[in-house]
Amino acid sequence: MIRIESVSKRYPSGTYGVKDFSLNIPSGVLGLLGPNGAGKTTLMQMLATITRPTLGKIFFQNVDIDRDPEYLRSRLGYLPQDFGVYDNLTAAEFLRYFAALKGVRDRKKIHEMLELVNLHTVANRTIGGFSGGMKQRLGIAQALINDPELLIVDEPTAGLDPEERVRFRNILADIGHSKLVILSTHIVSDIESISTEIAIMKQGSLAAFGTPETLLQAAIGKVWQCVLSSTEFEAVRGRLKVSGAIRRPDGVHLRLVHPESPVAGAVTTEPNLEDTFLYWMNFSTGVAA
Amino acid sequence: MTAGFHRVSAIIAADFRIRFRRASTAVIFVLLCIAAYLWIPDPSTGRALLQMNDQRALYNSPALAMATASLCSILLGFIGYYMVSNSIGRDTRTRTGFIIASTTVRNSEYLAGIFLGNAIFLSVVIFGFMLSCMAMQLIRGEGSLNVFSFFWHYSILLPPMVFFVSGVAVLFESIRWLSGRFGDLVYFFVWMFTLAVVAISSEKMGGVNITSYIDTFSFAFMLDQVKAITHSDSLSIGSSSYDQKLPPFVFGGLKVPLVWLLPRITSTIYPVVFVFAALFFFSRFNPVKVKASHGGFRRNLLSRLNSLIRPLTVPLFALSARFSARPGLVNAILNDALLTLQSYPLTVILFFGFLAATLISSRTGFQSQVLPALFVVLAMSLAGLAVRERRQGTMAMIQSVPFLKPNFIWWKLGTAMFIVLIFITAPLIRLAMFDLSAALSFLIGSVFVATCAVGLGIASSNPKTFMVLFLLFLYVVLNDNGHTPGFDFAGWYGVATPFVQVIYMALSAGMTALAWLSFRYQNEKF
Repeated sequence: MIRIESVSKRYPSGTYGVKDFSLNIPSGVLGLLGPNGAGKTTLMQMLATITRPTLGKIFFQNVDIDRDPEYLRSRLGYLPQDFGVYDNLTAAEFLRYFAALKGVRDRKKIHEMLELVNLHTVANRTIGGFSGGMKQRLGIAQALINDPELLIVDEPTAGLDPEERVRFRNILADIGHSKLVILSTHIVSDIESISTEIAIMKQGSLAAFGTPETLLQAAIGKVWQCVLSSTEFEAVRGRLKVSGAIRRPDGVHLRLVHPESPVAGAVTTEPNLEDTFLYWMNFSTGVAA
Repeated sequence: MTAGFHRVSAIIAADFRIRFRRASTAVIFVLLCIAAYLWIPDPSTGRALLQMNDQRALYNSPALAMATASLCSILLGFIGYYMVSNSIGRDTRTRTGFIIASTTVRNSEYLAGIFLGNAIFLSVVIFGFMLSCMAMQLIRGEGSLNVFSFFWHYSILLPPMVFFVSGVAVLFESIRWLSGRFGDLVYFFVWMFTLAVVAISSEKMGGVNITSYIDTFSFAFMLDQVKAITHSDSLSIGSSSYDQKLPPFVFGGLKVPLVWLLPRITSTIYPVVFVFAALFFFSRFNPVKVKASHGGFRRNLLSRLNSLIRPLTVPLFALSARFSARPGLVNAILNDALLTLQSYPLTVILFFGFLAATLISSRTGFQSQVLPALFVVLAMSLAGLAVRERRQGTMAMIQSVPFLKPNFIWWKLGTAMFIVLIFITAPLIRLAMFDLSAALSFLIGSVFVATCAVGLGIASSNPKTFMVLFLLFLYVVLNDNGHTPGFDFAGWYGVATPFVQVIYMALSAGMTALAWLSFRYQNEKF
């Protein structure tokens, strides 16, 4: 569905937001992981046709989106990061506005979307009085209002309570069955539960790409468990990649990510996605799994 | 209905709702009612709205409609820009612009929607003003109310201004370096220039001439027609005294002769060119360009100059580290003042420029040129001072500092005064050497500007309010050229009386009270 060919985004300052990025994504839910400044948002903005690549091409359903952005825009739902609202509009008016901009004429759709994100009871309240989570849900509703074939959501669960996060994850998973969802987040658990494929970005480039299973497999044997005293823990915490630490009566139970045994007595354990992310970010030089 | 029309109307409708649900719009309507009341004085007081050769016009509908529409054209032609030039900026700030950019909305549709949204907003404001003027005719009770006459005069005099302001706002918002405070200042000169060119050419050439085709404020048309009807050059619009011994004359109203038809149509539609020009500059919320122009705030021409100059002023700012380490209101004031100068290093260079100008300029040049220029720079430096925290979202952090919350107003006033003091010390000394009374006025005027910046900034949460009102006031003061002591607020002309000085001191106290009350009210909502 989306083919990214050697895409780079170079800023006027000379720094690269994205560098020589290539990827082919058919459908499903693509989880985009990476630390701050890795280039996730820049990549998503290029995919959403908000900014153009300096080099390379992006194809959506074999259509070059630089040449024909309208083709993608008419099939796109986009929720940017740190999304704001017009405080003086009501939730229904806000959705009606974006529905009109996206060419959606069906008025029932607005109510459907408000119901989907659980805002139908406050449809006629001005958004200025909404909580951060409610505004985020409204943003999600506007992204979905035109039944997009490609949904790009940048940090969509920020500000949502656990129940809403689960609800939203389920919505994305449902959409991902037939369409393509690109989801960027720092919350690994969001990606873990719904992503069919994961791309890890590092300094503007693709560090790893594959299904969660293949990425997890690559980290097998690289995650270690051990129990250290508090003093020993303080000595190693600065130089080792600690993915988890729990204090218990017998000492600190640690999960460490390292290619070889990092401390004496450490035993390997099954990696989770958080460990895998740490492994790919710090120890792997491979591009794709 | 085509898809494009549907999208444009959605943009207009959303814009309309957003603007008309703001408290500031209600304030605008109240101010317009007050303006109508002040502009149409009771003739028994010796003052009247429209006069010719000291003879007042009878308050019938054509006279009131023509005079108030002309005043509205000039005033709203200036203020209107600041009222509407925030639509694209609003979409950028809320990041809804990114969503809009990802839809099928064409740039032309978006800009057309913004342009028409601006025009509709201004038209509704004008409509409100017109109703106020009609009400004033009923109150003043001279001649029966002719609603059609009001509609006729407002429709032949105001559309060019409405489209001009809407078009320039769209164009300036689309051009990166004109989309910020620099653009606000540039518009002031555009407005003055447009007004002056048409007024001068109509006075010198008369009739329909080349500038009649860009008669944005309908000045040339109105003057020409009044002259044709009354056969007199002497026309005064605005509340002023008249000769009560002379009987009032009856003004029958304006007509649009055939020769004026094309100039009126051209004047109305030529601002559409600005929207077409905006298409070339509009970045469609491209984050690379938005980052460059907003990066927290806007990176316009001034920001670029500031960036270039910043290295030169670094030693001065090492001082701020000293103050920031110590708690206390005085240190907070010094730190805030240095932060303001640090944000705009250009002002530091200008300070040295003013210092040099103070020392080398002639006495006349110093008083009538250097001092007004100094106040323009002061206004620009102080405009954002009181609203900085609220607009940057750091208000909660500032309020968590123990002594700043209860002393916020004094903190901001202290900072404003400190910056003012840096700039005025040398000119004040020079002025005091040859005119003590003017020096006192200068000091009072400086305090007046500082309190206005803080008071209006906090009351409106918008730096534009102060900028607009101050620039308008400056225009009046400069045009008056020292003829009226009441306008010599800062000793530029040396004609202010002690009473005038007391009035400006009282106004400064009023502005401080406004700041204090507004902050208290806003904090109750917090």
